[in-house]
Amino acid sequence: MSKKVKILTKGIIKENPVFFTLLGMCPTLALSSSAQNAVGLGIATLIVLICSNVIISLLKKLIPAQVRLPCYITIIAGFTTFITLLLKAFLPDLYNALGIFLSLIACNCIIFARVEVFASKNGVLDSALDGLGMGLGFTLALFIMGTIREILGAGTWFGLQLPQLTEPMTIFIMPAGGFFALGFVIAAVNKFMKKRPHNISCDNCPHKAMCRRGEDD
Amino acid sequence: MTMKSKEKLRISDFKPIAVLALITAVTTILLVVMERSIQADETELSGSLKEMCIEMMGEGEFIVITDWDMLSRVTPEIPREINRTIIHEESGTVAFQIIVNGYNRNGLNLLIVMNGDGSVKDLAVYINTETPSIGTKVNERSFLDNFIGRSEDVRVVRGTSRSENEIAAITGATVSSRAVADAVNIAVYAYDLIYPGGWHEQES
Repeated sequence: MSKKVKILTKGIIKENPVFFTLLGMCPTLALSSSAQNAVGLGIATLIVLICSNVIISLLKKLIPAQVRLPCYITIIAGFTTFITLLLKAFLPDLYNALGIFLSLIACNCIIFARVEVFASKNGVLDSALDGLGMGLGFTLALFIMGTIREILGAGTWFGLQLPQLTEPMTIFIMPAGGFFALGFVIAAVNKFMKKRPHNISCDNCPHKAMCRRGEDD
Repeated sequence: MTMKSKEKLRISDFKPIAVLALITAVTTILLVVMERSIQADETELSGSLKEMCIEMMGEGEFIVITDWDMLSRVTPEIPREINRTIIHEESGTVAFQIIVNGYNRNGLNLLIVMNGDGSVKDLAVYINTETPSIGTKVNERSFLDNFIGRSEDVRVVRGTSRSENEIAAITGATVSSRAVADAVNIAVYAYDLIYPGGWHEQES
């Protein structure tokens, strides 16, 4: 039981796809300019991720290794189109706000990574939990980014006007502010989690034999 | 006579191709079935567009024309940018939903309500996918109000307007401001095509 909980929770914080494995940077930076869009895209990705994980876990014996990537792409793109059709029919406003990034879920590297690393090697329930955890982690990361950028950059939160203390800093809405905010958020999360980068030294370097930088010292 | 021995193709060599073809076929069939069953009805106003129509034209039934081909048969020069023509059933007020290129392709989607004499009664931005907090400044009422009552060609200029049919662009958002003017000009032109000389004249 605790193993299942572990699979579910590892994606939310410990192996958060945005903050620790740095996957899915493109939608994170492009759509986190408002909290509403960020959460919308996060949930759409979550649904595609769970569905693809389950189906690919079911079909893992059937799919031959030579054509596994084309098969994964077909299945993921199928679910993405499904979500796109649903949003277009029932939530046209969100569909218009997400624009091209909705179709681009099909080539989101978080989904590819989870399918290739996890779902193609594990059982159906584990894969579904993994998809749920990773999807929630991605949604959480987008929500944090969207909140910071929208409050600082536009002075609103989920479209609600906040009391204005200063003039909104437009740069946080722009791409440059996205990188800026992402850097600070990752730094803060790493500090909070007491994670350190892998030891960077000549001893761990695969190019040690060729490189002579260390010898001068 | 010697023959080079060819390696025989076995059935199992075709398995990857067969599996891929099968998965693609199943996915495609499922998607086609799904699209047929949940296709959004374009002639049905939904969400914020309906709210905007009610706010600008009043409660009531709306007739929505989405078929560009049908309109172009009546008036061949009707501009392609017109996405929907919305007619308020009781008052006969006509509104155009127009998509124009701003800084982004198809960046501005506006709803423009016309008066019977062919001038602009009211306008609002339905979807704006321009640069946030720069191009989206054209949503502001103070800018859009400049276009109300126009029936001649309007131009957006940088700085201050010098003549009657010039409108000052929003600083930093000249391209988006021009796109709004484009849409207004298209609406005025299209209304004149559909009801030459105004709607009231047509009636009498």
